[in-house]
Amino acid sequence: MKKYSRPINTELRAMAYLLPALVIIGIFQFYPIFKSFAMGFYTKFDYLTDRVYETGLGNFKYVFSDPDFYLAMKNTCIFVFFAVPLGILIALILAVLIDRQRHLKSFFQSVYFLPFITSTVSVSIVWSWMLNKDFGLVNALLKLFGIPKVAWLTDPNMTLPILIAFSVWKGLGYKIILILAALQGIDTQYYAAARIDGAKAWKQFLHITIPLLKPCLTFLYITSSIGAFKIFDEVYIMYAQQPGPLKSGLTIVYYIFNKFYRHWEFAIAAAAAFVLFLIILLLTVIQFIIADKKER
Amino acid sequence: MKIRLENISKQYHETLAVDDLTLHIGDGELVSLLGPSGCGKSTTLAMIAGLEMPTSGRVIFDNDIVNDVPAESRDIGMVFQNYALYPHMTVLENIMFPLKMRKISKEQRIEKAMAIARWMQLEDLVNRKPSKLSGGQQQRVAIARALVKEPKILLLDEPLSNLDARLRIELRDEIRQLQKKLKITTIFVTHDQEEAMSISDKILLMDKGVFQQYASPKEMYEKPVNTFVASFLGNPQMNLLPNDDFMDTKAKTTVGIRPEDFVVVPSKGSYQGQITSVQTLGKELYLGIQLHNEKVTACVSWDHRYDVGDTIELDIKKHHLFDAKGKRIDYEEI
Repeated sequence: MKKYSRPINTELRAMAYLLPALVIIGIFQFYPIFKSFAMGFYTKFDYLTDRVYETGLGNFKYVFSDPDFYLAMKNTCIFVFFAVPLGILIALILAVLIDRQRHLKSFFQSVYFLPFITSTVSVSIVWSWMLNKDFGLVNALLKLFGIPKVAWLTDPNMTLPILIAFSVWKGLGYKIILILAALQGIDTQYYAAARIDGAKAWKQFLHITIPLLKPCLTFLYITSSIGAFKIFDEVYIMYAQQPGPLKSGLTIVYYIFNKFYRHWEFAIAAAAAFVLFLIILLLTVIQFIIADKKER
Repeated sequence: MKIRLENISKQYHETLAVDDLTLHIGDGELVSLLGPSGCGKSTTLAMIAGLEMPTSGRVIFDNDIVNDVPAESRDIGMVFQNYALYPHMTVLENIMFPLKMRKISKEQRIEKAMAIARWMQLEDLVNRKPSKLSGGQQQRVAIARALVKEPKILLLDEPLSNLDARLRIELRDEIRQLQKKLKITTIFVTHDQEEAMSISDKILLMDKGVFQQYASPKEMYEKPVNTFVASFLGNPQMNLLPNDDFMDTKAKTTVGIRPEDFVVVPSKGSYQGQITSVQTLGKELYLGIQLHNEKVTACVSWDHRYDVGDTIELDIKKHHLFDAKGKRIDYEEI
């Protein structure tokens, strides 16, 4: 009998160790998720006393009939669609170039990593100054080449490209580090074999490097997509707490923030947040399925 | 295809990996590059493959200097020590890869790859990934991939070192037969003297980047040019003894006697020795013998009972002489 009681004992002990972290995650992560999901259905309630008088689909109905929500969806999707692949592509090119460096490798690595470790808020402030129409560094540079001033921050057509550029630039360091690590994990014998088999540099990249980097690139694609869907800080700071000129920078999280803090429409914000949660969940699952299928 | 290396050297930073090597390999020959690890044999192979550039000297295929031809254009098949099969491709895709790089149509690619896969007994495995294969199977795929483009030269870089002993002998013979059938000029890198002896037309023995001897296995075994070659070839090693009281030559020389060249005689042998150890192997015995002031190893058959402490009479069938620098002295020179 004693023989069998032991595993249960160790299991209990393991659970006891896991419990504190689980409690914290439960209270600050899972409870809010379920609460906000539930709150999405509150139509009449007292926020302070948490007393609910009436539930229904009204909030979701509101969200799905709000043109602002569709605009936020559209902007966010465009942003994700361009920022994520572009960010990975540029990081991949730079990582391959850095990987070929012998002496300045760590220098380049640190330079590209810096934006990642600085806070989004401070970097956004710097960017908004650089992009200032009258005093900004960017327009000053353009002037050297005789190009007229561009109203970067007030032209609605410029908002998404600027946000995409910002996100690509800021995420580079992290992606480069991961890709570099993966590159160094590729056995050089594969390249020797590929050369013997007649593969020139580009073919080696295409047939050896890319396929062997795939697990890393898939990981980056999924995590970057999730991160990109949650874009908010850079818009909020760069456009002086506004969603960009003519709402051109209105994103889903901005929409949620706006409903929650500015309009105090907590239930609608909760409903929108839940929609965002579902979108991200759906995309992640789809990507995992695709990655899994290709693996077979 | 004939291969000629003319005075090639390879310098890595401070170390000279290959020092002024000259070598001629005839069309259709199988040549082993043999030597202890770090002797420069793999570097030599890499220079023939085009994966490394010689610091000086010329690499010549038939009559063309190929120094500036990169590996991808040299038309060589190569099998790597760890096989280097592309892990993300199936066996068939691996074998087809060299053809794909030559822009051969897909139908032809499949046809040719399947033909060679059948020939190498791999047809049941073509849809598997390399990680699902045994070492011997991976080896076969690597050979198939090297041969599918019908190269003029086949390079094998320690292809058997990751296999177990039995499989090693099996594949060794297979490689030899294959090479004979295809008449393809083949260079085989190994650190295993037995492997080199059994498979090659000729052996190039190197040490610390320096050429030692280039000869047929028989010649190299029977007439080693120096003490390094003499002791590297043969197991157990040749006994190398100072020539104080063996021969009547005056010069300061070394005598080399292979263990199997000792003969135990019932009486009146030229030498007397005492057995210090007895090691039994399957078909023979190794005797450790105290001979004068030296310890030697003799390889004898089972026909007697030998015990430690016994005194035995010995004759020597054959011996080799080396001068003070270790260079061989031939009898004609004495």
